Amino acid sequence: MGSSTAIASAIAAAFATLPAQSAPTFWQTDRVVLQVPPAPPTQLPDWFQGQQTETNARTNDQVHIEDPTLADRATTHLEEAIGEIRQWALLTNNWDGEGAGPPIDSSLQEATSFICALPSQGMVPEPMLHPSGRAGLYWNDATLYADLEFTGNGEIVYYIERRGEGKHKGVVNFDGKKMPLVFTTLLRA
Amino acid sequence: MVRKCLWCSLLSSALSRLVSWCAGRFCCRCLNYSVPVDNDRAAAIDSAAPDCVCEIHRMNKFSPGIVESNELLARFVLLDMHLDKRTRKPKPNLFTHIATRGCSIQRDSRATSSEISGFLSEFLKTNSDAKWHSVLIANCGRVRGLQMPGKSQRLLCVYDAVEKKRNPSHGEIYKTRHVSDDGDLPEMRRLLMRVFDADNPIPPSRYRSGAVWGSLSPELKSR
Repeated sequence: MGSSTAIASAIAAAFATLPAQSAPTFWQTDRVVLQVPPAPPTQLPDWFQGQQTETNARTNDQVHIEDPTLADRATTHLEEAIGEIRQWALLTNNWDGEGAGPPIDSSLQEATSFICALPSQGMVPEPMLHPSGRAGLYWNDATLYADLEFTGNGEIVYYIERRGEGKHKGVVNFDGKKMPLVFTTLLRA
Repeated sequence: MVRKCLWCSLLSSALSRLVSWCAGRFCCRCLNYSVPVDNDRAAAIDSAAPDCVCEIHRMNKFSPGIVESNELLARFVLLDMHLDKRTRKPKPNLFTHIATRGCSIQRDSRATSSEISGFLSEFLKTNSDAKWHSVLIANCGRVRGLQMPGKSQRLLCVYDAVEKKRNPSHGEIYKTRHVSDDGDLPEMRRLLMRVFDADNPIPPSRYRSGAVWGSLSPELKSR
């Protein structure tokens, strides 16, 4: 691999000293031009906007980020819940020792999407994995009991009790983006 | 009008009940063996034995008898996955097996401490991540008596579905067709959380005055 690269470099260097017109005919018809595309302008993804400096390996540029505090902040409880759910993807059959099925990827994805749609100031749910492989979320405190199960087919099965306000249950569609309206009221803090 | 013989009628009725009972006994035991132990088991058992008809028959020859409604049932909490991380109390997913292969319980009124200890030791040795966190106790009659508001159908069956000779006090709770997979299951879990008093789990050291906890090996206790 190294020797072929060296030979190619030597040939390229030799031809570089000559005007293009002086190359042999056979070379002009058969040669393959290897072009290295120019480096794109330095741009970091949104999630990275917290590092103080970063060196771009390709251009060697030092990239300065203005707000270093974002990268230093602690992981939020909602992010921890998302992390826990994502870890479940590694589980296999019988993860509970009682014959549970493997986690259903689409259900885990729905649960993480739902958490992303929750208000950051609200009560933090406890993630659950059911032996059916479905993910769920659970709230239980002095004012609220809620059990949500994500089917993996774009639906949420729910049972919610607000102390003193009775119970609510049903099935609702979830597109993975927008919080279903029923939960904005029932899961309020 | 043909006049019926009273004694013949009584005899016929008794014979019919006897045949039905014998057939039921045979069928229920067959059912326990023949239905595969997979995530469709609860539905298959309910399909073959609707309305918990097999509760009056022993499901297994190793079983000490049918599960009586005055018995206590114990559900052991052995996994972190079943615990709320903040409160350390059980979560509803502890009971989801009622809709899949049956929620395992120990018949607390029947089981000796030695049997419970054997069951726990085996589970903990087989599952290295498991730890005995707590145990929940419920009255079997209350489990069987759970109903949806305004409806009278049975929602849960409790069977003496023994899985192994060395754990004769094992039982299982299955949901019936009257608990729909999608609409009612979270509510069913809520009802079971209440009946098993999940807000007040019993720590191992207090269960049976610590007799079972004391019989476990140091390695299993130190997890």
